[in-house]
Amino acid sequence: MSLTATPQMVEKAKKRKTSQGWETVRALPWLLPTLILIVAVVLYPAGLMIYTSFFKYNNYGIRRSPDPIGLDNYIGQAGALTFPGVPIGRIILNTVVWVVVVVLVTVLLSLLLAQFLNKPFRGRKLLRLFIILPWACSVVMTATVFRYGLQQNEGLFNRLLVDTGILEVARAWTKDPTAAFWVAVFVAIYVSLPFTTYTILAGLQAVPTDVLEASHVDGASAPQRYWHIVLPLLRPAIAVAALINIINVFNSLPILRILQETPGYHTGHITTTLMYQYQTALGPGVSSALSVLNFLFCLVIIAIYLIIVQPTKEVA
Amino acid sequence: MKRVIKLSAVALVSALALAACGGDETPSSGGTAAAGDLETTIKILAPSYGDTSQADWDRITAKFNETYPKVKVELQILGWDNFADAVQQRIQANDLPDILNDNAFASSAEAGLLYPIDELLSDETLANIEPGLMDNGKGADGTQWAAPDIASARMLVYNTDLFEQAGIAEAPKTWADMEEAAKKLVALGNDVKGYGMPLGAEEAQVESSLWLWGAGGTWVDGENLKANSDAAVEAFTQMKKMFESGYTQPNLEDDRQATTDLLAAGKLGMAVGHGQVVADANAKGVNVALAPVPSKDGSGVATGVTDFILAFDNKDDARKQATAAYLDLFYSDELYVPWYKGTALLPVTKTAIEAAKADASETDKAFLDAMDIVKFQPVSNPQWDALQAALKANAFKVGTEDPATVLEQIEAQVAAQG
Amino acid sequence: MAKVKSEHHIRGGINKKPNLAGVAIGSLLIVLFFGFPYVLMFITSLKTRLEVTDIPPAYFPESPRWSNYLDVWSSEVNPASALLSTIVIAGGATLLVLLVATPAAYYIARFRFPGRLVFLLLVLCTQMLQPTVLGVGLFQEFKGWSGYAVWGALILINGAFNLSFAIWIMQAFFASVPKEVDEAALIDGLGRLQTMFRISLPLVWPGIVTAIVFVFVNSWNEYAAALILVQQTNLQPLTVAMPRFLGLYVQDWQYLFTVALIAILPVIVLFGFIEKRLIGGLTAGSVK
Repeated sequence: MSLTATPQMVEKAKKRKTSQGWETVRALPWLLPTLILIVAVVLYPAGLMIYTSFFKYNNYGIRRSPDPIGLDNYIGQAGALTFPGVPIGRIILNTVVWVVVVVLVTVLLSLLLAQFLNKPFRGRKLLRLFIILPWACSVVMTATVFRYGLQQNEGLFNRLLVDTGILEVARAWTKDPTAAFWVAVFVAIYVSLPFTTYTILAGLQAVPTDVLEASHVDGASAPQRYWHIVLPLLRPAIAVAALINIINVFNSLPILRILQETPGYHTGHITTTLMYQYQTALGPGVSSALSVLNFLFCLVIIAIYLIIVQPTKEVA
Repeated sequence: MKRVIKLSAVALVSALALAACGGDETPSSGGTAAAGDLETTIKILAPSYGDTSQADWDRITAKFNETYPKVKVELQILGWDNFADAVQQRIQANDLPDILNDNAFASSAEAGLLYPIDELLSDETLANIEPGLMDNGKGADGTQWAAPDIASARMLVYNTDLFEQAGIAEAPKTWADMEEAAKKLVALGNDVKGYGMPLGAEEAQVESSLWLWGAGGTWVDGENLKANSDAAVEAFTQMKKMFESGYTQPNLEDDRQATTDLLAAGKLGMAVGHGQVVADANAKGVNVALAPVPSKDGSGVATGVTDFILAFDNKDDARKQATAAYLDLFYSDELYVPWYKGTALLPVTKTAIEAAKADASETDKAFLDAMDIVKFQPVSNPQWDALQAALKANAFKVGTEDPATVLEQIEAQVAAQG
Repeated sequence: MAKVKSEHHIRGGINKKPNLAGVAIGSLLIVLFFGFPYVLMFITSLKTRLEVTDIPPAYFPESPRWSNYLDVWSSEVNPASALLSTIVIAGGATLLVLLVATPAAYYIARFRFPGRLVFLLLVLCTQMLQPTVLGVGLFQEFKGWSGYAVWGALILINGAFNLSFAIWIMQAFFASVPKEVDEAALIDGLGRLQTMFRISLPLVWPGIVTAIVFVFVNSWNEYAAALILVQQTNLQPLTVAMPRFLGLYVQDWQYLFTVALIAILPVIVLFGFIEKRLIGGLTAGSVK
């Protein structure tokens, strides 16, 4: 728009504005059910959480102060960022490593898996059913069986590793914060694969074969075809899958909680598990404060992702 | 806080007193409505103790509904894993269960959410609960906020086969005895460890309390709790010594189950345990015996744990009346005995204790006798929640860090919560 | 996203028969990788309570206790009712999401209007909040829903927290269907809603299937909200009921894993059914 607006232009803009308003109203019936559900079931409790983060509670969830206590739950004596003995810097770093490694490896492996499962061969349907096992069998149970198998004394995975000579002696994998963190990374990738693979598989179904055929005739090699044709077409599917994975992995509580047997504020936490730890040890006030920070943190990560990948380009 | 209870003596006296009022205990109607007309809903929240928890409660409810057909009883049983969270969220959302079976009450009592339990239970019921255990449910102000519903003692469980092999004549009494025994046990080789010391999130508070008491100390310091007393430093130093000498299992962050498994597999000489540990070891063909937990001077300690019945004040007379009636029924011999047996722990009512003593197995007898030297954790102190959480989060670090530093850290975390 | 094509084309030409050895090795790797934890589950489910904690652990039970698979049904935890709860909740939530998300996704894919991006970002934000974090608020909102109504509450919650993905993925797929298809239908006198259901929907099966799978499995696994909301033991879904096998003093790992394995079956059946639609949707909707 030019700097000097003529009366006609203003008129036009007004007109557009009203017709735009009308368009929004017309969209409402289609969007209303979604909006209602979101406001009632997600935003209302979220508001309550923010409110909670400004009051003092004991660890039994009983409110101990009639008046708000400012930012005490955030940076006070027993605040989310300042509670004695909490390696908060390391935990924030862990969180970033956790999200980046899990999502990146998951997407790469899923691309590979989806490509393989998209090939026509006998039994691929069965194989496709097989890869959903980690998901069908609930994340909690999958993490539990890993914890059980990795016990130092009772664990069958440990025995297998020793019997095959991979390990010299059995390890207490889940009782060392760092080892447990990487076991959890493995399990997180493991349980994210089914969903991501399926999303990409669905995307692959939509790649038009005539384009591929044409390029084949033109003499493009398989990797070239994949890189220049398939991958760009998969972009929306990958973008959405990665986005959802980032958020889910970031908020993932059970995997780390089940696989980390070291108690307390050790160096294997991410912010989400720390929040849970606060919930039981310090109560909902501090825990809500960390939830709020956690949400903002997640927002930042998503913003960075949106700026780099621009998945909205396709939808905007 | 020393709560040494002289169980046997009291039980004897009370058995005589109770002979008069035996027979069926009908629920006393403390309220206004007649039993048949009372119409309301009461909610019970309880943890899972074993395979029959729900059936055990259901039996009581069925009986209750014979007298109170119009009272609906909603029972919620949850696993132990997230029980505390569920309780916390219920309290915070102000949806208070009428009856809660839990192992802590101080915070709810301090916030004024509870009925004093003696306001609900009939005099007969109150009189029949073992006073030594009942005291454990008193708040700092002397109000009887909660009533115990089951008790358990933890003692030293030791593998008699291994002891024999190692040439150890009798159960250790002092810390020095214990070190010597552990040394001999470890010398047996074959991955045998001397003593199981679980300082994981599950039982760190129990294990550290035992060592503290063994050093002659206590958490209580006037009105407050103090983590880093001299006795505590001494206790933690001894724990560190056991670990560094290679007498304990390699991971101090283990939970009780891990050391129990080792013991039942014949790979561990000594551990602190409860009845189920003995049963599981025997079932696997490992011979074990019980003894008091060694202390520095040899006087021996044991820890007692009671779980409680809490009654929340829902500001509703009908619910209160129904709750009171339900609880009286709960503690009646006819229903209480099968209920506590389902938990595989020890009873708290005098009549049930007497009956248990009469036909108890050797294991149960040993535990019942240990009630004489049993001490309780300071559960009635509101600071205990914070101390307990800090112990669970930090105690295991004693293996690698300086004992005084670990305790200072624990104290700092307690102090930060005011 | 590009045009949807029939599978016959994929079969021909460039995607010629892959070599057998490669497929065999790949398949074997996948089976091993995705199967091994469940083999351990299976082995454990055939042990006795005491064998489960043996040191060192045995690779196989002395004699497999198949009776665990029968006994568990009459155990205290009552897996049958837990399974029913889970199926009702997960099925209900999936249905709810389809009903709510489809029109929104369709409209967003078809029309540009002010507030569109804001709406999409708002939806995305909801994905960042999880029941784990919002337990207290959810509890206050739904605590009055007792009895079977609690299933309704959990359907709403699972639905709301899974809407975001469904809308995003479905709108991406709707956008890949050329507008001309819709316009032709509109000219033929169909209304917008009818056009969506009768014309566009069959063309975007892969997207819908992905959404169904996502919502269903997430609801199947939901734990945090169910833990605090379901106050009657007999209405607990599997995720809340199963941990009850691990009591304070008696821990029945063998039953826990038995039920965990049984609970896989309904999901696999659902997938088996949906798998067909995934392919079927493709052949049905070839658009040149």
